[in-house]
Amino acid sequence: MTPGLLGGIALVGALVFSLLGLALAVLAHALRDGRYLEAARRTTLLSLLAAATSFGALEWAILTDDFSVSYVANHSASVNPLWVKLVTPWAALEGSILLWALLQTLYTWLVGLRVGRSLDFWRAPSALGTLFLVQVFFFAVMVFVAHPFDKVPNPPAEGLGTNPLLQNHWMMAVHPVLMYLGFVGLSVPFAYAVAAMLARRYQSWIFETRWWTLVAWGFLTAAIFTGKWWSYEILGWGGYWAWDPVENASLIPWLLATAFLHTAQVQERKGLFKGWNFAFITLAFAATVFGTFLTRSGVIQSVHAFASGPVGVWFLAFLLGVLALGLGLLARVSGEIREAGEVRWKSREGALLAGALFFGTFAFVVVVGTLWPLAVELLSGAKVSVGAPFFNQVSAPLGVFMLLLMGIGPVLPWRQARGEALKNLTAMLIALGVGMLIGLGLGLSLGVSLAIGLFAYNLTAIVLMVAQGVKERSRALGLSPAQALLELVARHRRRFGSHIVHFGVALAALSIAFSQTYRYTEQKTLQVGEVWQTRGLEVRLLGLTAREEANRFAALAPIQVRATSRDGWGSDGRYETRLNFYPQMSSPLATPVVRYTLYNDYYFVLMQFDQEKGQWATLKIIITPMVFWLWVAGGLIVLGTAYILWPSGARLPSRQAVPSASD
Amino acid sequence: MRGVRGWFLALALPLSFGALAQPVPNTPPPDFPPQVFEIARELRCPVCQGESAAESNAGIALEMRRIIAEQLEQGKSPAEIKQFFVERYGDWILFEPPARGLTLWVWLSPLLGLLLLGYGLWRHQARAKSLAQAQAAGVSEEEIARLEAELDRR
Amino acid sequence: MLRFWPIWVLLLGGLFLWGLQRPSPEALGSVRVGKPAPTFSLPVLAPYRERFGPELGVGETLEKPVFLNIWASWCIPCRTEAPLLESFYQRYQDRVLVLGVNVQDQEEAALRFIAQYGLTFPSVYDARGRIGIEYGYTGVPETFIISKERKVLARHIGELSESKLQEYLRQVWP
Repeated sequence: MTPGLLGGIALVGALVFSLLGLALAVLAHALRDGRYLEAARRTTLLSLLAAATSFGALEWAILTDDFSVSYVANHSASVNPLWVKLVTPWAALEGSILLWALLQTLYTWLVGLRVGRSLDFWRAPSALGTLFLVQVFFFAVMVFVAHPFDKVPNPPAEGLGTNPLLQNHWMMAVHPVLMYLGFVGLSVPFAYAVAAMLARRYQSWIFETRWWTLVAWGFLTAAIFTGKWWSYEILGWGGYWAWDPVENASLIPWLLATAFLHTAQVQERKGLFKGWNFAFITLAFAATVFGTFLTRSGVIQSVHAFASGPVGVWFLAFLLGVLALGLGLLARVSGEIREAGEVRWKSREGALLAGALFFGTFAFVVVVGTLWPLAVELLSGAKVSVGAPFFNQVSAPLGVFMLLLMGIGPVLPWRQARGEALKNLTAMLIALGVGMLIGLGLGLSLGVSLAIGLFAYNLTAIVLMVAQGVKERSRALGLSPAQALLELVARHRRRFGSHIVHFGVALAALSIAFSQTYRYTEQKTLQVGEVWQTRGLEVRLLGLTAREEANRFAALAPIQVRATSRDGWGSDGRYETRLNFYPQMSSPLATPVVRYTLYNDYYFVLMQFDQEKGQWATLKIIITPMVFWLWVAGGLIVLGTAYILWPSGARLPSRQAVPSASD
Repeated sequence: MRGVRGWFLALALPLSFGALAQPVPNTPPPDFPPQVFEIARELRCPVCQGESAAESNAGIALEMRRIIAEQLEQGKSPAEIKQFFVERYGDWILFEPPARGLTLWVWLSPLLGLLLLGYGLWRHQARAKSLAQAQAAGVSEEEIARLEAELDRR
Repeated sequence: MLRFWPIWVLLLGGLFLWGLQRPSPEALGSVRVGKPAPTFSLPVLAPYRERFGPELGVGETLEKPVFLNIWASWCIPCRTEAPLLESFYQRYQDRVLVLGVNVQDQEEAALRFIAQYGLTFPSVYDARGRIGIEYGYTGVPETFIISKERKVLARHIGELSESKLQEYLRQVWP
């Protein structure tokens, strides 16, 4: 048995099991027969095993350098280091679809475990059916269009190698997996929404769906931050977010899922906003499909696109199918959802709705900005670009409003604001003003000063809320403040976790404001031994060397850096800048060296060098403040999410129908 | 550096292999002050898949940075330099779409989105409120007060 | 709004379907077409100096239409294009001037390329590709069709073909 044969058989098996599961789920739904549901539930494990076997076979083929498999011949090489081989399955189109499908079967299996618990008999068949339908799509694409195990008639002795951009950094091993975990994870809330609409039970789905959405959201956040970090460490331009169409495509579902996480609380609490929640979840999942469509069809130019192939049309059909299913169902039931209740703007639910309004608007802007060049070309034939300068300008005011709401929302009580909340608000606004004044006093720009103010404002909000919680608990339960704090942290995960997440977001915003405003880039050619004085640094080019490595050549230019003023604080040291030459790439790949400090990041890139005599090298220096804190913020957001999700055993999400008043 | 010399000649080999590789001229590029990169970041590199002229290492992008540096030295303003490229490549080269014609709509999109969603939200609220009032008409004042008090206590 | 969901879905689908079937999504239209061609004068590569003088380019007035071909020795399509251009030039050199502009290249490599393909149409040397940017080029090879009145009639991205060359010839000599 060869890996190619095993993988191909397992792939067909996974497609058959998905079809079988779909048929069983449809029967269970139509006949209301529990036996079919049980059979469908068991099929989830079969499809997971088949997909895992297929994925394992691909790993096997790559690890044993089996170049009779075209994927291995085209995207791997025997000289690749072990870790590169392990991550090669998701370095190109076919393998990445296989990973996607594998994760989908994993989620379907997990949902299968919920059948009979939170997923009742009315909703389980349609939820499983929706997930099987998604599986059928992915396996059908692989079996019929983008087969990962296509055979090469005359296997070459050596493969073409892996995309150097991907093997240049270990982050590439993690980022796609996290992204797929997030993208695929959103299929579960979508399945729950479809099931709820089919069963016409509009309220009960929200509790567990919020939990699933938070899982996917956590992965998506982690993926976006690792993606930024990868971009920062690899691409050599000193930035972390380029507003490229594919980056936007990962942001859209994130924004919509965030909107849902906030409005879901209004539904949990007041039974309002049911239709909107269905819409947010449908659009969030559709946005993930949109993202895969963009990366795999080449319809819009992007740095990150896979080579365009015949799969584009398939993904387009899938995207339209998802939209039609979700929106069609919603249009059908929206007349039935009759909600009664009032939301005052000056209340928690009012702030949550306003927040959702801004998240929704932001998502709308990103969608329009991403698609508009295509629309303009269709309408007028002219080509235009909508890029970073546009998105930066538009997202700044939206971001300010969202940060304002993020601070005040949790401080406001449900239903109606009272005097206490207004007192807190005053304190927060004072913090905002003081922060701004400090910023302006330090001679910082207005935007950055505003970011400092907003950070202080949000920090004050969180401190006030924690202090209040501690005070209430120590009084009511007769505990010392320290014990009360511990009690608050341990018992109210959802509340405390959201504080951590919100703090992370405020920190990220501060870091983005600083780094986007004060990035400093300069390029200079140095003779060996020459010293370059710039912005608080003294850079000496020590020499030039070359080295042959397993799968690449490297040119190295070591430099000695010394800080000469406060601007260059923390930059001292010896660094080895390098250019990597990969045989399959036309131009060399710069690998920047980054010196992280608590304030400035110092970023050195070797741009060019004297190939004949080794006497000069051209260096680019990028100095960016506060970038370090962006990674801290990303970590905090993910940790906060994990803290909320970590099973405490004490409660099930579905029992949270009526949270305590302090929540 | 004498010992290294052979290395670089060996290194020059993989550079020219495949012939696809654009040879890097062995002359040092000019020094670029920060402003060059600030302007180049707003311009699209014509041969790259969506990279800016500041990031790309393609020959055209390098030449664009040189042109920017030269024009800055001649005392041209960033707007004039960008216009120079627009005259040669069209609006496409600007990452920031001009606020006129069809691309004006992109600039209006935040406002449009806010209005559309805000209107939907407002209409939804108005309906839910009128429905609540219609239902509340059947409940006595006393009952409402009792329920509200209970809700507050939770 | 929700009531009209089939319309929204179809609009989105139509947009993408149209986007997918475009023959070359990357092709960028030239703003130079229909406008006067920029003038320039560049050093002629050594083999042609005897016949064409030290410098050549697009002047204020032209003697005949110009097919301005931007090329480089490291570009693969240029290799299949070179013999085609050469035979075209042999046949029509009294009617049009085929003018090569070698960009972003090393002079020795360019001379080797010329010798290898025995090119007789003149080429000028533009190490930095400055003239390419002046014309708004997006890569090599690229050809600008300039009428006798110094107007850019067309811009051809990528490799030329015999039929395309004939078509452009009819454009400059109607």
